[in-house]
Amino acid sequence: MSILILAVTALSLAVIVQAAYTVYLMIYTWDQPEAYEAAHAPPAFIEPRLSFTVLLPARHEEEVIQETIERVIRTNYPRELVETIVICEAGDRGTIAKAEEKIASLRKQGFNNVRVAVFDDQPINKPHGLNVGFAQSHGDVVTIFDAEDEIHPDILNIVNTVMVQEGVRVVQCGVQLMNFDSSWYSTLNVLEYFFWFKSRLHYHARVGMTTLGGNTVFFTRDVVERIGGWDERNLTEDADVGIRISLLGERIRIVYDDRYVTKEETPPTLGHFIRQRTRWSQGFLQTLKKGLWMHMPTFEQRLLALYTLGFPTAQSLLALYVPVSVWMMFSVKLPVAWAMLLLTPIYLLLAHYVISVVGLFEFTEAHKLHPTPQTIVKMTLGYLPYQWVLGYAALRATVRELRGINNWEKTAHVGAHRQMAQSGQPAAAGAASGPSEERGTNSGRDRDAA
Amino acid sequence: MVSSGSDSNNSRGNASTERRADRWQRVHHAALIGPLVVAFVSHAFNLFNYPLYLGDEGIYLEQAWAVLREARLSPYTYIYDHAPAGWLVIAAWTVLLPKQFFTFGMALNSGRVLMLITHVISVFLLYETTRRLVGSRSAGLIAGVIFSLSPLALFYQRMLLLDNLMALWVLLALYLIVSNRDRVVTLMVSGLVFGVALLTKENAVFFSPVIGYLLYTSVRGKPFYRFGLVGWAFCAFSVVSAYPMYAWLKSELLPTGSILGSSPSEHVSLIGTLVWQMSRSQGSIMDPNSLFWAFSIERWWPKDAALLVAGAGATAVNLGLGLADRSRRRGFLVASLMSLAYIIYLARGSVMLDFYVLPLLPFLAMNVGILFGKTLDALPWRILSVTILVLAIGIIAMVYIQGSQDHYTLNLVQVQAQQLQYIRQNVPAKAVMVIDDDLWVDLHESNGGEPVFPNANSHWKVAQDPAIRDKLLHNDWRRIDYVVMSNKMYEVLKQNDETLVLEAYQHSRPLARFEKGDVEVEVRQVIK
Repeated sequence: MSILILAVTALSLAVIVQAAYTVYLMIYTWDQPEAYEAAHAPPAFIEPRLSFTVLLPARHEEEVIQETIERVIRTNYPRELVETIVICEAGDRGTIAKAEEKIASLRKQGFNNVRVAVFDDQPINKPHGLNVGFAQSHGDVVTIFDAEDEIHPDILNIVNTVMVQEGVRVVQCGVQLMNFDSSWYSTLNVLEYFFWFKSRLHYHARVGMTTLGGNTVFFTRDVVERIGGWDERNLTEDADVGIRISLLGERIRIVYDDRYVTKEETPPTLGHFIRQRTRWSQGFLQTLKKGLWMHMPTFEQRLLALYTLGFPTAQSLLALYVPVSVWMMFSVKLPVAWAMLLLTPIYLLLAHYVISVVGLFEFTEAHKLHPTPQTIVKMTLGYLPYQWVLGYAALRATVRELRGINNWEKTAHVGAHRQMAQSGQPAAAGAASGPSEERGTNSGRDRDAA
Repeated sequence: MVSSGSDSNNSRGNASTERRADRWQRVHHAALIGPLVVAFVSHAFNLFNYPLYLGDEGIYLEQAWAVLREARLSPYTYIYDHAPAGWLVIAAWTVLLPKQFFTFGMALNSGRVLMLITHVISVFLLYETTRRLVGSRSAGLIAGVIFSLSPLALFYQRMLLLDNLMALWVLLALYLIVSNRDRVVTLMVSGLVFGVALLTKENAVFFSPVIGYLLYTSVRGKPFYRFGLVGWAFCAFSVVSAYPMYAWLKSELLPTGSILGSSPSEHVSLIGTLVWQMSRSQGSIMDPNSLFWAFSIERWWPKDAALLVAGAGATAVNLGLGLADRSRRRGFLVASLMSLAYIIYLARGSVMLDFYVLPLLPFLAMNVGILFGKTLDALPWRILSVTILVLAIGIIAMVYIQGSQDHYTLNLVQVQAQQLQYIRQNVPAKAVMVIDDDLWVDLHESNGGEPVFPNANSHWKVAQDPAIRDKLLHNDWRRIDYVVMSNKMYEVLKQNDETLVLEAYQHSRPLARFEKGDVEVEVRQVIK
């Protein structure tokens, strides 16, 4: 028994440090206003100077690919400076057909710079597709959008201005999940993105150890050439690329401005959500195992890399910690001071929850949405289960990695955020004015589509 | 005389203005040294001799002793009469000292040195908070000097009392808010500190609406305001919740017999004590016989009537000025509300001891400082305002030092030192003694070759704690060998009807008596 108590105490101390760090990174941008100010989009745009290649890797995206292409070519940027490459695997005939159909109709309108790139060799995954697309690209700057992304029309102007004015070669712009009220886990999932892009990434940029996002990220050609493209065996090629660029000592500029974020949706079902998380966690573990992060020059960078890449696993520890500590409180008689130490992680968990609730108000205010009391109730009841789901996904990832399973479990995209936008009102407006029937129909449709 | 820099528009004079501003800046920094030196000297001089060690000081020290020596919150049954943050701090301080409790002679001296440090830090915080609240260094200076030299303040601030520590934490929580440079973490620390203030002495809760108002007005409209407000409140809540959590872990949260009172046997409980405390009343301000008026007239008024009158007056004026223009005179409003909030606590009528006035004193001083300082600042010539300021501080200092000569010259503690000496030399170590708490740690802590008296128990516990009264003494005065009387202890025994101790007293004869002026202590032997 005493070994168990010591183990739980050690676990408790580890969880305290880990959780306190996490909580601080969540509020970093509000605590350091100058860091946030520095991450704003430029107030005015300069003349377009750089040419862009937009890589659109797509797999089974028949539903949304045409609209995505439409959004990319309708950006406020001279059309001759934007090249769009839809990348598909040869077997994905549906997506290829839809994309070709769209391209044909665009040609009639005079848009000639969109094409489909097809590959038929293994592995069938996003990094491979990106390498294929990059080999055919011509733009000064290469960027990636996912098929379900709703990008801001001025995003290329922003990056053109930032890259030219500041001389940076890598820019990560904000990505934000929007459908905060569509399922029990969507609120917390949306807030994870919110805190990650709005707050935490600025800390990463300051330290010089940034795991990049999978889209709305911009590289000059030479940077991609210097790092040799994307790692096709890594499930989170984006995080890996970020580490390799950080290793070059290349400055990564984060642009986060609520107005200009790329809008996305949460995975439509819990199953999809778990598969997505498993992939991320496993990819992080792969990046951790690869060990490049150990070559970073400063201790703070290495620590942050270790912490970030190992975080999903730490998360599963936290998920396990709660039931264990509650059980210990009732069943093991400990000195009071000791018992209180074992309780401290629960305070930090509570802090994490409270900050999330505040974040909900910050998020909805920034995007002119309205949380209802039900949103908060849902998020409260779902809070611990959500942590357990994350923990489960992390455990699953660890097991898969140990057993050498490395296939890409793709997340389905059905355009829930676009349906919101098309209805003219965000989802929450419906919820505020009446019962959830309308949204219920929506999410039902989502599930069917998935 | 604050660095308003109003003439900086004149471009020709810019360089010389800057130089002058620089010089003033240095003068101002030097100006802070003054109150700190005054704070240190006024409280350090004759600290170990005056005033007499109070029983309450002894209680907090013996509880710190229990933390260090027995890993619990009190050497007796802990009855949740106060939250423990105060004596946890005292215990932590004692650990740092080379000879622990006996570093400075008698045990309570170590606590008084802690109070000296507490006071010097409090003066710094009072000065800075006042200055930032109203933008006037003169205000801070006057507040600091009054707070250090007032005989009323000096008397109680030298004693090891929870109220002094609570006032320190409240001032620190305020300071962190007014000095904050748009950091959420600073506000969170302020919340933690205020939580510690509440766990040091619960009546700090009366300050919370005012601190809440200050916090709200300082973050309103800023991008981090939600995180600032919630962060502050969450941190304060976390610290405070540790107290009921502790009680709960010990199964002492709810009273015996309540629906959820977990343990079936008779036990102490936090909620039970709280309910009991709330129900106690000793007359409100409306009742001329209440303790509020008794203390005001008997104890506080003779020590420093000027501060009471000027402080109450300045509070009223500042309140009016603040309410008239809340945005431009927020500092006036906050200062007056701090003082008013605590006056309401004192006047509302509950159990009160004379030293409960302590946390009010910095805010009375702050209000006088603000009113006086801002008036000086409004004078047209700086030289005039500086002259008046220097003269005023000189007069305040002279009057106050005149009025508190005992503090600097009298040695009362010697009677307690002699009493302790007598016990150590003449009473057998195993003797069952009833004592007051002032000598408790001196008798229980081993000190080189001196004897230790494990059977010396506080008269409060002999009268009230079943573990001592019934189990140890079987409610029989014949089991008591000695009664050690502190000054005026007999009145306390009578007032509280401490039957067992009174019986022992009535069957005892004096062995030794030590006197100084009207102070008198005794060692008595029970004749069986």
